[in-house]
Amino acid sequence: MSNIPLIFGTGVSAAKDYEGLLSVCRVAVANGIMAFDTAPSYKTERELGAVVIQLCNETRLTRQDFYLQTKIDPPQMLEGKKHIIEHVEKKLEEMNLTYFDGLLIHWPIPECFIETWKTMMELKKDGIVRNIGICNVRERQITNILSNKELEKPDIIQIERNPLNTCDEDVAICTQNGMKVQAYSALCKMHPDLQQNDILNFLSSKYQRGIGEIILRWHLDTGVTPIFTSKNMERIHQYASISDFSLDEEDVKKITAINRNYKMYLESWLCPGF
Amino acid sequence: MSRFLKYQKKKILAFFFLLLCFILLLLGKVVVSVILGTLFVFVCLLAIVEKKAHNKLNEQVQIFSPNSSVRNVDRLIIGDLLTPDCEEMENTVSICAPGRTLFASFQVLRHTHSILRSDGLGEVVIVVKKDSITRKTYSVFDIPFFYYTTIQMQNLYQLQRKGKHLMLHAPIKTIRFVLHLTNTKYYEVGVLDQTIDDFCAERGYRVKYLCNSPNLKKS
Repeated sequence: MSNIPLIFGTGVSAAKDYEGLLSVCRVAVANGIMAFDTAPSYKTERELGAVVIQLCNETRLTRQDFYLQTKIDPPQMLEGKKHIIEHVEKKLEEMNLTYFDGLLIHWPIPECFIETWKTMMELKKDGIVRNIGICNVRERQITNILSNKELEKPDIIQIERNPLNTCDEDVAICTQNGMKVQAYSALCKMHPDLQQNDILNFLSSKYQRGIGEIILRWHLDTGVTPIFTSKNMERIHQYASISDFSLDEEDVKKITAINRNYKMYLESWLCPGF
Repeated sequence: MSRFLKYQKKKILAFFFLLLCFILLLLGKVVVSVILGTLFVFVCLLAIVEKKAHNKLNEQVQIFSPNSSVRNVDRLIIGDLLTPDCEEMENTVSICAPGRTLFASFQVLRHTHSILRSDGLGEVVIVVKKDSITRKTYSVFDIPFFYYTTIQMQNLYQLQRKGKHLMLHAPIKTIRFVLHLTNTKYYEVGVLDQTIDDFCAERGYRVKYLCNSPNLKKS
């Protein structure tokens, strides 16, 4: 898991049908992107499973070459432990897999978080999932989890992060405690404030790269794995090539300074009591 | 054609109703015609208020959608109606509805607080009338702010269904909500609910309670 440079997301604004997903995943894999993120609410799990089988058939790749991660959504959390185990087993069957590389709680609904997390700890122990994690948690929740001796430390924390919302404290606490940080909305849907930002435009000229590439590189240079999605083949190719350059330390700091705690997804709106 | 009928149903119905009134008037049935006409105007008014109430609620809810640019506000006002000048303060989000209980305000707060700035300077203002402090009820105006998990966990499906017809289930409150009718005088009072205080303290927000009872006034 530590060597994953980029994750291809199949959520909002991704191709949802099998053919569409296959064509973008084919380009992603051809460009070295082997990690894919899905969730029950994205309605791409079954298609992604089929895509992976197809790509294994087309190439010399095997399941082990891929990193596949899905999530537990609130409806499964509300149903309780038995349902979560059944749900994960059903998803594995649907996707024709024997294990998930990552299983994450999508929204940490306070009323059923502990039970869900303990169930996921069991699934990890049984080898059904390799890594477990939580999405949409901040420093406050991470501290609470770490201080609870009954709970295993998450392997992955996935948060909304981009230059408009740099989540410095959250990344710092995760890094200090050996948790891998993944960033969704990594490009903030190319918000106008990013597209028109002087620093990003200057760095784009300096490195001769697009603003999107600069931002993805900034994620990597700050120790975070960005999740991106696109239906544009050329863009997938461009984004996949960010491993051949890196930003100067000063430039990383300049991008981090753009922060204004802007969130697209309000945590409490999708996770009451957050 | 069926699509046209679907979207123009109300207009077509109104047209035929008016036509009927007109024909009755021509036939000399003045009283029946006037009664039906008055009924028509009344129903139209109900429909207009209903639509305006839904629009107002949608406007409040849209603020929390991913496409909204309203973020990191200084103040979040939740509770009963305040005078418009209080609700429309700069960098403030106001989610007020007539008769909102303290219990419902807390639940709305649980769903909406992330819109506040998280640097310790965000402020929550809870507005409640004295008789709504202890009532543990929700109203049709609270449901649009609840995520489906809350609806499911608290079995609020019936109230959710009622929320589709505001004028039918809460006519007076809906009119007050649309016209923003309030003349209640509020005073800043002490802590009304320790749970709310603890919830806000944990998240680094300041809390202020406003109540119409001078007896509870903060010294």
